[in-house]
Amino acid sequence: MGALSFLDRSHSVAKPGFSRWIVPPAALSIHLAIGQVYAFSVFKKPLNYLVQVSTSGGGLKALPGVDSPNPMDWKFTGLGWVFSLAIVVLGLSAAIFGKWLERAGPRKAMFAAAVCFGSGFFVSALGVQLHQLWLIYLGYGVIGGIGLGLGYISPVSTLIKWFPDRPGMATGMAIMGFGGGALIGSPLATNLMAYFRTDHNLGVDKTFLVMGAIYLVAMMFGVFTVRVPEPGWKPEGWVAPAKPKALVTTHSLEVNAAFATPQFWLLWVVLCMNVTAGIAILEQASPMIQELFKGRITAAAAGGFVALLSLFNMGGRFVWSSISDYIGRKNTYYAFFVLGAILYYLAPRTGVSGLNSIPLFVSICAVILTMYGGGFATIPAYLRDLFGTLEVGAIHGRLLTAWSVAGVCGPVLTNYIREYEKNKGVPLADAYSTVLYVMVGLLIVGFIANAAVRPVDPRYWYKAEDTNRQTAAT
Amino acid sequence: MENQNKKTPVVLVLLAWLFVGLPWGWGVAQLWKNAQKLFQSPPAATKPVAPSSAPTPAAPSK
Repeated sequence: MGALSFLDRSHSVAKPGFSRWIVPPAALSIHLAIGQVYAFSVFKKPLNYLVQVSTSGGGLKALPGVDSPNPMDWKFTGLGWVFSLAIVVLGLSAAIFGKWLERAGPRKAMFAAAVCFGSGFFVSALGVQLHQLWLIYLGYGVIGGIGLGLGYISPVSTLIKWFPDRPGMATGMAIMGFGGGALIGSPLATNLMAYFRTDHNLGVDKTFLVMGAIYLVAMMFGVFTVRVPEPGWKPEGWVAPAKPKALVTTHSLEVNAAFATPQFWLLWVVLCMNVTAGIAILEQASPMIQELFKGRITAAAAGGFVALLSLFNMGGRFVWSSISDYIGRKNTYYAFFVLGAILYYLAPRTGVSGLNSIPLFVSICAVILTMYGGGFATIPAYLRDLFGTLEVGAIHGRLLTAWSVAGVCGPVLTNYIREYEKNKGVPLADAYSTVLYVMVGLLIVGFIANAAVRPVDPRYWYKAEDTNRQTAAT
Repeated sequence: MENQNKKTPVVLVLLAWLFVGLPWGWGVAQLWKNAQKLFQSPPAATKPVAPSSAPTPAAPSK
């Protein structure tokens, strides 16, 4: 245990003179790595053709969306569960280990995240070698998923403590990294598979091994760089506002107390509605643009559209969370729900049967995606405003279950409505309109939940506020 | 004796940002290349590929 004592919270306290601007890159090294999960789909086709290629050779000549002709190969449906499992385990592990994280400190949690995420790749490589799908579920889905959950929440409370003057911007930076992780993970995996590919081997196992090693090392950069501020530390020249804003508390709550407040559940609904609505666009972006502008948008152009949306999803995380430092979190979410509802309503009207404007449709979807990303990035600062800094990481972890629920509900709702409309004989372009109008309804629910948020009742406040623990949290 | 108030060198801060910024920038550049497909011209089928006496299909109205 002694060898790992450097991971203890007490060993990661910053000395006077330490620059807080080192902490965001430390957080980013974790989030950019774990954000790779959004790029897992690049492995689906190669994983689907492992046996076919190893027996027949000739490399990968698969048709998109078509299963390998070899019955020994894994099916697309089975492979789809790997990503879903990883996201569900992310939410669960963030909720379960959040309290431990607050006790253990960010360095230990980041270390555990790095080991889990890296090992997930190694176990998956073994799964490919032995052609055992359950090992991929266990490796990438469960072990890697725990790494995702721990990694996602571990730098959040540390950043909030380092940037009391700009908590939105600070957490936005890290969470923007999660959005940007796929930008690195996808071309990295594609290039590595191309490098290791032979006539009878698609190189997936070796790619998993190398990526596991790369991510382990990259995340260790964060482990060794992260520091927590000394108790009572404040940025030079910064004075806490004498009269804090109405929703910004100077007190703190423990995670279990926060869990019992109506505010926690209102924010849960706010996040869930925002994410569900965003997923409706993400899920259908490619087919929707092709259907609304039939004959004018190729499949390749639709792919470019999806890529463009990823950029706006990432940028929105930083921009909106930074704006929230000025206009307040509640107003930021009002903007998401009001502007969002208008844009969701307008989007289907830009098609050929309406305004017939591709630039307008693309712009609307881009703004919507900034708000989807912004919703993720602004929530930690909203939690900090309402519940204080004491256990904000753990509270954030529990709130992420809203993401897990939205991750399941969003696609199911979207696909169900579209199929229902299609079966009724409604043209596909109009079926998308129905989906988006339903999302307007969800955004109105989110608006109401946000409007209902009030300061937390003092009976929930952490009582022993004069203890060291409270001091450490400030 | 180490000075306890030693400030973090700016170069160290820059190096830390480069460590995450370089791969990130590479990823953004790759994505931007892909995103540009959206702004490329309409389907090739709508363009005349070779001079022909046969009437070419009209480009879709904007």
